[in-house]
Amino acid sequence: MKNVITFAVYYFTNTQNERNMISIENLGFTYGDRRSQDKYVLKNISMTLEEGRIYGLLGENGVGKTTLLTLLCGLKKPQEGSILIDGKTPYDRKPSLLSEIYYLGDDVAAFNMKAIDYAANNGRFWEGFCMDTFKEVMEIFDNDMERKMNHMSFGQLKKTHIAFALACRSKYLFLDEPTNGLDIPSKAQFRKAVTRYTREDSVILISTHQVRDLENIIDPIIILDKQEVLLNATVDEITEKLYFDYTSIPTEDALYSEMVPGSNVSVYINNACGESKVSIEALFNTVQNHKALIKSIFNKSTNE
Amino acid sequence: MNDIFNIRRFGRYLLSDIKNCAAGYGLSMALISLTGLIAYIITAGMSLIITGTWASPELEFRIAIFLVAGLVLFTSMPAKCYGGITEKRKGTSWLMVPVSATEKFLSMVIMTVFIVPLITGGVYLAADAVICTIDPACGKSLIGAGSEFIETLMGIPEEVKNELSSLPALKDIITQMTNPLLYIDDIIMVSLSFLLGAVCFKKAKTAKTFLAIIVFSIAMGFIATPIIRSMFPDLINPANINMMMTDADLNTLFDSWLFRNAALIDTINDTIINLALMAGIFLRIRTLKH
Repeated sequence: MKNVITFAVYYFTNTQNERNMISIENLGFTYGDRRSQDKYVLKNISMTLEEGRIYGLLGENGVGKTTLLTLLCGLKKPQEGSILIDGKTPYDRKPSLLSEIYYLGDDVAAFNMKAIDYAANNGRFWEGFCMDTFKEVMEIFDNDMERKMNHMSFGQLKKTHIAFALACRSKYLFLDEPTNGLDIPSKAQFRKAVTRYTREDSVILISTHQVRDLENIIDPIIILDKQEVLLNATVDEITEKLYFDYTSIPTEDALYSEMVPGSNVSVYINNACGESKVSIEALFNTVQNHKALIKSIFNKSTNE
Repeated sequence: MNDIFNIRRFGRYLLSDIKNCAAGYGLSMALISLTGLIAYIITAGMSLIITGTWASPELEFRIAIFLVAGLVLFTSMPAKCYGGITEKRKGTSWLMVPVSATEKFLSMVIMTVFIVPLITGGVYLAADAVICTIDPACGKSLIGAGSEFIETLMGIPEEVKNELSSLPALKDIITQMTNPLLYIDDIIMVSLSFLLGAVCFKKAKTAKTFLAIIVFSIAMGFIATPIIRSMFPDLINPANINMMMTDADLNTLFDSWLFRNAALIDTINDTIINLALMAGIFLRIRTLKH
């Protein structure tokens, strides 16, 4: 009897964990010949994405950020390995899972209808869709809801799609370069809207090159490289292992340093357990320059 | 939540599909449905200007215009309403809508095969009927013409019609084949073909679909010819190709099982092709990637 209860508790807790997150196991994808290992964009990628977090997905051009996002939302089929979201395969595109997902691509479609009509016509398929949220976000962006989408500028169109994405209140939100094309005030408004209008249990994955636009909202940070994940760590884990010094002239043991207006930013291994604020740009360059070292530091921390 | 089919979700999706299609294709639909009226006004107006008399377009002319309008509708509508799904931006939005592939497929087929042709055709035929009521010089309306419409379409010469008394088997076949209802599945086939082309080809959807239909028809001809020839080795023989067939020969030919059941065979053939086209469309929707 005791064994049965133990099994039931184990089964329930484990399956519940699996159901409430994104699990990627040995994911592989190539646009070319599958026999040619070099042509794989993603190879043996494994990670889990937990609820209640806004992940920043960083990487150089062509490392597979957009490919990963499109695989996660079921627009592509994994050629190797698996992706499970709430225990379901995204490529099956079942309505029950699709209603929990919203993918906002880098390039967005301009439909021949007013923004408000588009929202009313399409929003009804997402269970959590809230028209008031759409209107509020459109107002925050100072975007005209009565304007036809195919008459909008790229930035206005992007803002309309961001407003729609947030109004869908889906649990899994995948945003590919969301701040591209936004004007300067809109970038701050975007940060405000993302933190204000997403669910507490959401898993948000934002792929971006504009790290300064999103520096204060993304945590954890994932850095992709060709066929591998260089870093997948929370800001706390990063500052525990690395120290970002904004004050002094860099010393020889700095992993990376760069001039910023008025000072330097230098990245060191955090041997003295000092507290610092992460500079994502400096972190990214440090990781790119010291791939093996960073992997060993963070893998050790994961193993411990 | 039912992940395959939910009637309420499907209803909502169909309604949204109608709105999306109307936004992108509504004006073209309106123009196509009024083509008959526009052609009538232009013909009569031109006649009035040139000859000084009001000349109404005859049935043959109105049938020709109706066929051209139908062809434009069936070839352009699927590409305009659903062609976007092969394009990355619109296709991504379309695929991510939380509706099952079955519901998206059904909505697409119902729209292409029934809703749009019925609305456009209905308005067209109603306008034609109104014109013919107001102006009796037009003769029969397109709806009133019935089998005469098909006879005109098939181009059966008057002398053939007059000699049918000596070919009773052929007369039966013509009666069968001029039933307008027999051509419903052909209309469905045309619309499904262009829908499949719209969701499969990324560019030049209509031209490529025409080309695919031509290639398919030639291939079908190559398959069907030896079968029919083997059924009538004496009558259809390349060696006798220049010999005139007697009425008795023709009666034998047209009285055969194949010709007597031509309407049934045509219906079965069209149904198989329509099912294959629908399977192709569904498979494409199910496996579409961006």
